[in-house]
Amino acid sequence: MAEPILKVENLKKYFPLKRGLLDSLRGKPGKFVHAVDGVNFEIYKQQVFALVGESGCGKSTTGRLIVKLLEPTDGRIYLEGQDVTTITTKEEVLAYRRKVQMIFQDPFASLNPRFRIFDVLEEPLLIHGIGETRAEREELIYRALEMVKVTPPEDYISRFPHMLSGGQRQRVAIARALILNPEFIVADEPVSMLDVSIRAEILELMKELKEKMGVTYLYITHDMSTARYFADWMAVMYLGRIVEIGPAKRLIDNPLHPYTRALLAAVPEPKPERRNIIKELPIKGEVPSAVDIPSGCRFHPRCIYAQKGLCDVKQPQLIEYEHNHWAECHLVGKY
Amino acid sequence: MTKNVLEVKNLKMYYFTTKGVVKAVDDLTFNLKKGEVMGLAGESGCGKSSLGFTLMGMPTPPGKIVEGSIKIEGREIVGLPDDVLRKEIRWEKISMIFQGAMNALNPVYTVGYQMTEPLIYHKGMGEEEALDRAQRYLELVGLDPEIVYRYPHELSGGMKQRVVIAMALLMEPSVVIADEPTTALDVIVQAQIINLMKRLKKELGLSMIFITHDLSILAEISDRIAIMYAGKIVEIGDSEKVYYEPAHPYTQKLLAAIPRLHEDVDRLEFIPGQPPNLIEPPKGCRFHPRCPYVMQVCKEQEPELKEVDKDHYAACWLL
Amino acid sequence: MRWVDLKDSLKSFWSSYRRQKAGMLGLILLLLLIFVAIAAPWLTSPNVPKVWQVGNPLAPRNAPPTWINAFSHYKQSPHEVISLSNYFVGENKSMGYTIYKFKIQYPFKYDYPPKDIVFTGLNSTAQNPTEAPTMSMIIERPHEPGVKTEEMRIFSDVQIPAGAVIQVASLPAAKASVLVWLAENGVYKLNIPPGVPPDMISYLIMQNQTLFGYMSSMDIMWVIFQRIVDEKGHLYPLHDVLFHQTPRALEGTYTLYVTIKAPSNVKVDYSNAKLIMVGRTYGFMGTDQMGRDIWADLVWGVRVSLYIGLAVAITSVLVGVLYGVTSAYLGGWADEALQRFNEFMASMPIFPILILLGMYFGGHITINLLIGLLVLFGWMGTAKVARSMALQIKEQTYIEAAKALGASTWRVVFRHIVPQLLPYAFASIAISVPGAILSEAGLSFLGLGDPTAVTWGQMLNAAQQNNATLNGYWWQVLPPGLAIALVGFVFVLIGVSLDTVLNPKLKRS
Repeated sequence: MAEPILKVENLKKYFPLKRGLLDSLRGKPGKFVHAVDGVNFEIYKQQVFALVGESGCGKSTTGRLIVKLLEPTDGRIYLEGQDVTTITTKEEVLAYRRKVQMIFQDPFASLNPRFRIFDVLEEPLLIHGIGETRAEREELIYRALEMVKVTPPEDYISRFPHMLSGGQRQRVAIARALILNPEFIVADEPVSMLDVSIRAEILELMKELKEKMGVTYLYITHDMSTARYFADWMAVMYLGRIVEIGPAKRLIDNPLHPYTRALLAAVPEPKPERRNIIKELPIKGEVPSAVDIPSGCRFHPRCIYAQKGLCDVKQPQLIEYEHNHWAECHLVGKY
Repeated sequence: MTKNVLEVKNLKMYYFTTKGVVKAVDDLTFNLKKGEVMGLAGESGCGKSSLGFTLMGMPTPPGKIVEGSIKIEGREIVGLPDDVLRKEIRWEKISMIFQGAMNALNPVYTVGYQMTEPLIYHKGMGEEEALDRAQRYLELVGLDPEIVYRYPHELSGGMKQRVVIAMALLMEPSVVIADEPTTALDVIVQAQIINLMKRLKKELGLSMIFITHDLSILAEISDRIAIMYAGKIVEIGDSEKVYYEPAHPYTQKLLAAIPRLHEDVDRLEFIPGQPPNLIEPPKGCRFHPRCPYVMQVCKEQEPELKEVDKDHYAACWLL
Repeated sequence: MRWVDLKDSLKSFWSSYRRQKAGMLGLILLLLLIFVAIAAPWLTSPNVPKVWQVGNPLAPRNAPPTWINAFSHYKQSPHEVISLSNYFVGENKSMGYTIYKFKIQYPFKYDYPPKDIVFTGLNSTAQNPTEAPTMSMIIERPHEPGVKTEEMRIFSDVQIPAGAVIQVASLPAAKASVLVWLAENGVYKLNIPPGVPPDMISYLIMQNQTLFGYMSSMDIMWVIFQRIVDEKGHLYPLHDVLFHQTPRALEGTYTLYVTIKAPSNVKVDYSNAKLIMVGRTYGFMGTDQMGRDIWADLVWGVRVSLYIGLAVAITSVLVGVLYGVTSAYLGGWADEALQRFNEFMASMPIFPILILLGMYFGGHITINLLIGLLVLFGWMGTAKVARSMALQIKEQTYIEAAKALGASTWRVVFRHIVPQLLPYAFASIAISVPGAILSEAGLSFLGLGDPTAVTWGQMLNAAQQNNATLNGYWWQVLPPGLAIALVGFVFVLIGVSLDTVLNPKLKRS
């Protein structure tokens, strides 16, 4: 297989918890939220890699680490073989940002309410010094708006975000990311705030742009159904770690990890004949805090198959159980 | 035949804003039978949440009920003075599980205080009796009754949602309105809450209106489904009929837009354009600017709800 | 931050602000105040600040406003300035002299006569005192039954060197003349040997012990403007006439004949010459203990007070917003340090410190120094609010988006954060103006302000020194007090409306 465009190695991000004055005077050791705790994956060119999990599992933090909105505590991120965790100069960071862009979840919040659409799209051009004159920049902005099908552009450039529908706003946000011609886009729940009827439209648009512009996506979502539809690869995260990783369809049709199974069982399906059946959810308890990570397998307190003396003691490793299909569980095939 | 607990007839609720009159709920007629769950679906801004608050007799200002009737167990509530509504109707006859339950609880009072306060002050119940009842209902929604002594921030999102559900059931209302009770919850918690509501429906014979934009969730619980578009019901009927034989193009498109977990779909459908402005809705059928099957008559005359099948109605000129 | 940001935010702000009735009232009042502040030199006179320092010797002191006559039983004559040039009736030349004649009609309908008649402002090209013009004045009283001569010579041929001021009430020659007139009308008997020239008559009076004694203490203004005959046609006794024991003023039109005589080679310029009827009431708002016109001071006070208020408000809000945004944006230890410094400043007892500083500067503090001090102690509140707003904005996704695009700190702060704070800054400015004006007034009242500046606080300070409240000089206390209240009211109207417009929680749809 070809070289991956993006490679993440043992990525970690711990957020320090604020200590009280008394505690820090007593010299108590600081506590950390283990948001991302040793994550490895590779993403191939022009593919969609979905990162799936519940809120607080670290999927968004991983995305922000990749676009360098956060600095990792440990680990490496390689873009086209180059380690980007070590770059520090302004020029290098700017050059990196031209290659890696982000689309945010809430199109109502990701556009400055006081910016006209023109200003929104001009900002990346100004920051990167693209387009010498206003006319040149306008040309680029028109092209970007046409690409995301906000047409005719002249009707929209002088509007404010609140004068646009949710779908149009997300298109503008996509145009803002694409205007820099990036190679890699981190899309953080790009459709979860949108209505069903628009969701499909945005996903279609993102697919189309993938073909046309050759971009690669990291698609962060909690929604397994859209991930199956949109993604080539899928990784399931739980408490800061990837517990299962594999081709999207394979992973959904044949989940290996008990957590993946629980997640899939919980997905509602539009089948009204099952309305009176109470679904079996193969999981117990609630997500523990990311401050005090359970020992051994971090899923064991919620796992209905957990074996005493094994799961609560020994940390499992990601093992390839099928071709390209990995899981981090002691009991794959044994429960 | 089971009797109707809720009868809504020609209900109109308009928002009188400075920009114009927003026809958020425009001429709705439907009934809810005892022990039945009716799902109400539609895109954001179609008026489904407005309808929820209107049924509670408290349209969000500047909204006003312009016309129509809402009967709960045969009693007309439109036009009742506010203090009567507060004392005799709200929570006692009809209650609501709010959208964004996380914020529905006051962080400075214990769960028990918040649950018993209306019982003590509005119903004149003794403190012990009220606390006892609160604990009974917390147990019913699968929580430890000792939670009455806890503060909201000590509870997880799912637990808070359960508390809010218990509060809505506390006065044993005839009708419960659940307004997006599972949005903002994680998939697993959402599934647990839906399981809980299914159980309550079975055990208590709950009559419920379940409002959400998510047709998959709706399918999990609803006996009947009403699809709203631009302030109107465009299709209503038995949920299996609506899901498997959708009659209205809007319903068809909406269902085709849902990605399936275990099926491969080549291309998802979507509905081009956006929902209309409710100040000046399009003439004729309100869906006609986005409809792929639009005809001349659609642009001129508004279709009425027609019976497509037994207990399955749709408002479309194609039928 | 660009001009369009400002324009857009102002435009949308104005469209919602104009719906606020109270706010519009406040705005109209503010525009009026600004107009008054700008037009002060034309509305009053440009030398008000100078008069403030030296006082006005030609105006009555502690005179109440004229309109109180409408409410009191006894009417007191108002202060009037008569420009002589308007009453020029002709000139003639004789024996190498030129004589300029003026005739002035003075309608008198009060119970109390003017305090004095003052002549001033005559210029001439005279080189030495012998060439200086001389002046004479005759007053023709209205007809009074039983009085033989209505014409009353006040003085004759008094020399007027350049810049001279003639105050009739204290002019010995005038007193003598009035006594002569009384004798002529038989109020008392004066033996005048026949053929004695008029100047000698004055000399005769001064020889008379009793009359000479009267001269030092008599008030000739009362003699000129009152009746000397009672209802029954009897003349009042001399003592009663001289010391205003007679009950009634003589109402009617008085005619003043003024003649100026100068050698023909000397040019006389009477264009600025004025006859001042020094009133017992003065203008629209009366005077203070230095004869300063309260109305003029009040109008000039708008100028200085608004300047102080706006300068302090704008500067401290600007400082506060920048401080707050910097603090929020830097975060971490810098934020912590900046916040502790803010709290340190906020916990300072501002007024006592200002008083100490005022005393340190020995009452010679200047307006701009005062503004500086008020700003120094006035930015903390804004900084707190600006910081918390900036913290909120900083967490917005669009800020994250801008950073992901590669936006620099400068860009994030000035393109994304500061423009959002503009509306708050406007409201904050409006709300903090009255506070600044009050602080200045407070300091000035305590005598710690700039004594050369015409401010309402200084006016109150003057009234305080004059024991105005004890003496019942209410016109010295109320106008500046009410003016401060008015400005406070105006800015509260504006501030409250701004709050309604800018705070979405209070907004009604």
